[in-house]
Amino acid sequence: MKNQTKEQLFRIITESSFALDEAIQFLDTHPGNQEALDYYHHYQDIYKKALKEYQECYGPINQKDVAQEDYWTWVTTPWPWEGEC
Amino acid sequence: MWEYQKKLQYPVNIKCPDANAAKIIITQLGGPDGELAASMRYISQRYAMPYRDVAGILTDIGTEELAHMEMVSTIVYQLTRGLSAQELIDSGLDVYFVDHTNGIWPQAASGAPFTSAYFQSKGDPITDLHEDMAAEQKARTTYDNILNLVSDPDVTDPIKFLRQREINHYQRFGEALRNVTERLNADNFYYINPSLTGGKIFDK
Repeated sequence: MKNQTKEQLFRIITESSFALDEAIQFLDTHPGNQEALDYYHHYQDIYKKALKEYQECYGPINQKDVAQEDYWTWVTTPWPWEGEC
Repeated sequence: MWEYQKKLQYPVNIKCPDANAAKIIITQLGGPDGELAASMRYISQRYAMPYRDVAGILTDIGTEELAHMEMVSTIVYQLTRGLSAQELIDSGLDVYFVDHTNGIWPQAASGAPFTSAYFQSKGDPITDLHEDMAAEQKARTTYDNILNLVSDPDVTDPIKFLRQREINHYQRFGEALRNVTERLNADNFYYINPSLTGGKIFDK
């Protein structure tokens, strides 16, 4: 996942996060489905790596993952409804 | 507990404001079959749902509906950015503007304010799950109606995403209903409501 642009990383986060949303709801009603469990863990790995790298380089997505230690960047990066992210 | 994430579930980037589109799409924020009613319905119903796995699907879909509320609000916000007074008057959105300016306020397309009368929390698993399946279909029809009235791909792309989610959620609630009925007395699903017996099912 190295050498990805900010936009590429954000797209990976959006897509893998949505894949997890769908897998989670499917697993709620199919808790023993191995194919779905494998799908979940595949995207969990992609999501975690992309989220970690994005937040270290470009600012927080989760309130509890703010990386910068000398300024509160949660309130300085764009909000989703501004249409930039 | 909820943890907010600084991202939309699906991207919304609308380049051309459109007061007429905003006027109808706002109904999926605060209207009778909108995302706010959907979220409040599932999140309210889950407490009395006697089966932990069904309470789980209500929690997870109810949470996703909050993300859809944010997407619909974002669509309306971006559609109403930079409109002139004349555009507001010509579209009829002036009656919204006078009370809310560019603020986002949950109402139906008709202007009726959001109300919890739009949904039910009955405390009966079969009743509530049937309501939930109906709600998903009503929202799907509303998105179909929006797609018949709006053509800008910047708008229809996220609307199509939201429409598809209604279909997936309908499927999940159907599975939950099947799971519930399998656990009830097959001779009479209504013989004893498990909500009144601590989730215990009694055979006749």
